[in-house]
Amino acid sequence: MAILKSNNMEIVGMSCAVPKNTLTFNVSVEHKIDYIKTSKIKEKHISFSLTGLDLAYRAAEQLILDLKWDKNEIDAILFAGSFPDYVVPNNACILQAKLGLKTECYAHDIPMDPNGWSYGLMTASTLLENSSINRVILLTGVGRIDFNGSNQNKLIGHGATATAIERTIKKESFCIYIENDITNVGGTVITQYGMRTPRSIENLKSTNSSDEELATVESYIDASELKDFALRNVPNAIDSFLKGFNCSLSDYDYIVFHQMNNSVNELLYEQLGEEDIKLLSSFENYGDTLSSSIPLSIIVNAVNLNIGLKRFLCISYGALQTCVFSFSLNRVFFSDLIEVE
Amino acid sequence: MAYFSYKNICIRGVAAAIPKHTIYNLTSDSDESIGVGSEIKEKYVKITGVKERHISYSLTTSDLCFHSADKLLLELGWSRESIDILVFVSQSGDYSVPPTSCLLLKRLNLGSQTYCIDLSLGCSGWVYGLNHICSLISSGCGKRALLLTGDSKDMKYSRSMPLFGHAGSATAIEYGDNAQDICFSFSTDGSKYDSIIIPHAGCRNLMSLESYHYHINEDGQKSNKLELSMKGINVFSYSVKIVPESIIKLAETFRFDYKDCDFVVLHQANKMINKAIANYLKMDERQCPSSLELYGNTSSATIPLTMVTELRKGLNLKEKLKFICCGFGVGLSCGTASFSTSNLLIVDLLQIEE
Repeated sequence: MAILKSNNMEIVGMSCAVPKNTLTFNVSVEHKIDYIKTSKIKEKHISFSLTGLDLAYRAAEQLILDLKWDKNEIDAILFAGSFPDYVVPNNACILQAKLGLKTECYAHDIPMDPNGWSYGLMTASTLLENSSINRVILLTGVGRIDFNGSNQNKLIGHGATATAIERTIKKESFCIYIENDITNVGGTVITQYGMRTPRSIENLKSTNSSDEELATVESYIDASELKDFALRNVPNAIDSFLKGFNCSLSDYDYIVFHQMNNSVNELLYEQLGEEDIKLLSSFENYGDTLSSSIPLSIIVNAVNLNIGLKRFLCISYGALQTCVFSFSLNRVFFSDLIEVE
Repeated sequence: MAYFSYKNICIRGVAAAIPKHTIYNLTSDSDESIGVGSEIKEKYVKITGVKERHISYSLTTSDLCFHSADKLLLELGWSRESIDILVFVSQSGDYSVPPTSCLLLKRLNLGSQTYCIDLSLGCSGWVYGLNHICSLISSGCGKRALLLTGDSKDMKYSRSMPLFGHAGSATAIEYGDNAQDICFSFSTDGSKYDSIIIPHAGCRNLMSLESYHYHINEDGQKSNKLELSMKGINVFSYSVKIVPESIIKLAETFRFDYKDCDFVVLHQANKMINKAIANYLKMDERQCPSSLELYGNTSSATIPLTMVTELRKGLNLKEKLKFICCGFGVGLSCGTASFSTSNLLIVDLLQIEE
């Protein structure tokens, strides 16, 4: 069973970068589309030129600077996202050099959107547990591309986050529980880099796409299936998590869901029936930022987080998986939100 | 170098699958990418060492990995429910979303509680994937794991270089008594990221009609922006320096003599690079086996594929065998592992029909 408890990692810093350019959802036009309306999105940030790597780079630079980390003491860099700059090579290797990190760095991508941050934290915790690695930079990010097709795609916004993770010895632990739901594998399919049904020259000719346009990504996200997926899996997964780690909802100060749709998340929150745990969200102003959505929700609400030890329960879901995880933030540093021109 | 070491983890079995379709680099007229004329072809084969390679236009990496894993589980007698961890390492997954590991979970009929993850790496992928699995097992996330690696499938207008072949592999790893620790060293040099690159189709240079335009590169070879482009000199100088350094430092750190190992299985980059490394390490052909001639460079599948095709020859796998495996290339990135096996199961090479 995919369950892990680790006592040796601590999140010490978080930052995010979004494109300055925003797209506002016009009530009179788009809100006629029921799905957009019920999702409760107001605006999202998008860029025609900045990639996920560009945004992640800015977030990481700022965070390293703010934390006054010596770049030679960063032992691993992980990029968790499914939309890298190149198919070959991966983003983590490019960012190792771009950020000026040492060549002794352990680097790879985790192409697991929208569960990338969850998998990234899990990977970081197992790396810290088994090696001389002390400091890890975990990056998430998506930019430049337009997710065409079904309604859910219109909700996807661009943005990136950086999370600084350090080895520590403390009582507060990182716990994670992951489960798969493979009953409907066709529910969410984004084919951009996929080899199963690659984009053909004929296909490009018919869409007449050019570099000036946002590249459209052929994708199929069945919004109602995504909602069903969430309602079918998230409550059960939270239950399994609480039972597995012998804890209760009242142990946590904040709950953060993957930001795919505010009304679905509010429904999930209401079903929990625990008012003492506060719900954090970034959806209204940033949309669904895939793997960045949970850390982004924490960062944009940072000013409202009361000082002192806070315990977080987070749930990422979609793409056949549900991840429930918890951690505490105490001496964490939040960099100011970066808006990139 | 970043170092790791783990106790009580064993590699139990290896399998590899290739497409049945073969291209002969010396005689193939349809493949103009080497150049026209037998002299040019002979020279190319002499330098790279690649005479034949297996290519598919329909089988994806996950197809080849599926066949490898399916057969490996069968021959090991492992039940599907007993697999706790599935790691898929590739640069050619089925889709961007969802993860290919989840699709393989369903296709292999594994238990729904299996931990599935995709990692994106090229030539060094098998070693990174092995380390990923060891760290999960060592942290208590499971006892049995499958590591699936490789790259496959050519498209109509973007063919692989005549150096490359397609393959998918499966490696079975288990928690269990092992006298020898499994140790790793890793390094990354992203400053040379464009030494091995597919220039278009990612978010940086979006796929457009221009991506398909053919041009003649510095080496006189015809290619377009969706095909892999390689700066041979950069790759050569990186590899011949980093691989010996990585092996020697690993041996120094974990206090063993690398010359005592039975096999050094290197990523099969090309003949010139691999020969230079073997010479530097003073390893002969028996100790440093090669599968380049018949299968070419198969990305993150080269190490398991070489074990499958070369190690069965006159070898008692029941005995304890000491290995050093090194993956290097795309990134640029390098990973070395040292481990020992006893009773290693090696499945016969699988050839898959289109």
